[in-house]
Amino acid sequence: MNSGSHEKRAPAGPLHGVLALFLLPALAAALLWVAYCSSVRGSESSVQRLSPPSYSVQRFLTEQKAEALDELIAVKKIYRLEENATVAPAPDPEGYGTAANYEEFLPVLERAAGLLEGEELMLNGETPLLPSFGIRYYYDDSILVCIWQERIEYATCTFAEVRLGHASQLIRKLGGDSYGSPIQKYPSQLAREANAVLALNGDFYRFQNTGIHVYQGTVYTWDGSKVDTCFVDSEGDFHFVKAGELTEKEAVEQYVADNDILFSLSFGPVMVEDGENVVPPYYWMGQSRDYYARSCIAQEGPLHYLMMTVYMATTVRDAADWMIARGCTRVYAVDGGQSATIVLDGVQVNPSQFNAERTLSDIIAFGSAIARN
Amino acid sequence: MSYTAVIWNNVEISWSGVIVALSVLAAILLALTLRSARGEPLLPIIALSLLAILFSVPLCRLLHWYSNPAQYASFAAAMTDYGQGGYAPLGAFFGTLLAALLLRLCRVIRDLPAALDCCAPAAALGLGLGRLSCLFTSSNRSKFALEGEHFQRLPFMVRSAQGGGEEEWRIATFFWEAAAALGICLLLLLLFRRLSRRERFEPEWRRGNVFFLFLALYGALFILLDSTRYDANYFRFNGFVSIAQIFCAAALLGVLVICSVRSVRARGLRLWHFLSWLAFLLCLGGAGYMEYYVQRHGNRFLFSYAVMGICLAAAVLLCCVMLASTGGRRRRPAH
Repeated sequence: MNSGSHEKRAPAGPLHGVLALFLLPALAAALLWVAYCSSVRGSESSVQRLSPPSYSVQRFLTEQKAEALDELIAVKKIYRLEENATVAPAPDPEGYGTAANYEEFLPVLERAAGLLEGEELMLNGETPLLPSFGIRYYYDDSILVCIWQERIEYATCTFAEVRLGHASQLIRKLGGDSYGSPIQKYPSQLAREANAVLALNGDFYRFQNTGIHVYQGTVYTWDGSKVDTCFVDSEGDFHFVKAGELTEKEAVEQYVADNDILFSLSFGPVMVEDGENVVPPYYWMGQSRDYYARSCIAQEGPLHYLMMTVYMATTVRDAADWMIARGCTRVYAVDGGQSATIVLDGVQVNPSQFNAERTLSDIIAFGSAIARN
Repeated sequence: MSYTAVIWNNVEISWSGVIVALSVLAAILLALTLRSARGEPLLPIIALSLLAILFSVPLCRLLHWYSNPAQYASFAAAMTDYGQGGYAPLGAFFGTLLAALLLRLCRVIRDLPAALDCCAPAAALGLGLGRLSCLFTSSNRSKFALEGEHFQRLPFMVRSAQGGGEEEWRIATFFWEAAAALGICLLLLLLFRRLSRRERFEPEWRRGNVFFLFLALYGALFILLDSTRYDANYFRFNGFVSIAQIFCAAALLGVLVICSVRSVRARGLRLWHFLSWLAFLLCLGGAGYMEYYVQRHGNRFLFSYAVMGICLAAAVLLCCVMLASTGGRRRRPAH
């Protein structure tokens, strides 16, 4: 015999009507809830993004007024974010592009002449680009980003060069937007949350409690005895402090106050200083003498930065030599291995270990400062 | 698929969300149609759908939180903020099952196996259409790249810019999952009517067989397809086989056990029962070994997945044989 009792449809009564009147709208509401929950938020490449609610309408109107006065008043506009902002306005989707070679990229440089103010980029006509990657870029009046790849010895190196209009566009983005939050996300997710044009992995501060941690001007940890620290001030300038130089809370707080430090990176080592390879023979963090994928950031002028990730393994010392060969004078190492990530328009662009991102606690993001609709 | 479809106040719904909702709606409508074709009441299915959605979303989130706790501030944050974070689709299966059991306990559904028979093709349809919502996301690429220009195109494969700075084409996992699910839906629909007719004329034939067939087919396919993903969800104590693979293997085993019990009751214990069970265990073991093998020798993925596919197909075949034998002996007409 069949299990259970056979159900046959009984004639519809008033109770069925009442139940249907309740169940059907409830089902419709449930379907809307499913649609909301399963919506993919943030962007893949070339996807429309909303400006975050925290970016005020007032700022947008101010900038629109400035645009309107552009023809009348000959004063260079400076776009900026609030100090310690964790979210930038959504970039202009039209600002992204790809050039097959440096010649195709030249028109972008010409348009960016006002932003560059005569400064030369590290990327030039002699750069041995990997043709398959080309030059991927973003430009608007507040930021210029260009990314390319080179084959150096056995490794594929991805370079990202940035010129900002204002230091506030250099964003220290933490998971959960608060120091100590347990939230870890993929760098591309964090970059999308920040509306970053470009992002680099940070020092993964949550993974290790060593070093000096400063965030939004507040000192959270101060034991700088083991690792080098890269402080970033309100002008976007790097200050390198070697291991052992600052180990007391009061000293760190004084240093932060004296130099108007906004945040710190605590991984290291300092790779290049004054154009010299200063990687120490032994370093406490990151297995610097072993062969791993590497990630580093350099500052080559006011608001001018160069980042590099190395796919396939190399030592920190070798990576420093490669940066010096490209003209870098001040370079700091951040977390390598699978953490080494460069994100453009919310998508990872560098090859990485296991061909996949790993979740991290923080990134360094570069955003536009121009609000749009 | 991340384009915004609807904005209302601060609520943003993307096209992927719309597609998922439409796939759920399509599944519900199919279940209602099948139910109506059998002349059975529709309200229980509507109630089941509503309850299944209410249970499934938190369960999908719970599973995702369990595998990826670092993506959430806390358990409470994970279970209360559904606008952020991810979902593990396996939770939808448990949500639906839980809803069905609850309604059976409350006697809203009188014949649970019959209800599940109607839900099985619908679930396959919903899974197939729902997977299409993620067709153009970065998750839609497997761990493996294939050469050969014939397949290097959407939707079969996805171009990826990883790996040595060059572009490569990877298997588009979600496309194949969608295709597999829709194929299973079609097969179940073709069999649905035939199996329903058989149960009408053979008293020994049991309801629920369509549901078991769905479990066996989808479970076997999902074991293989989930192995190709690089972002599968794992138990915290084991990073070797994913949560979905373990549950699918358990479902496959469960189908065999239930069908074996029914078969033995219908036909008595036979030698071929033992041989079938042994063969099934060998097949499942073979599939498990190939999972281990492909993780050690990733470049031999074609060989590994071919063997795994054969093992799983054989396991499904054994389940089908066992299921077919649950109807008892066919009586020959008297001369």
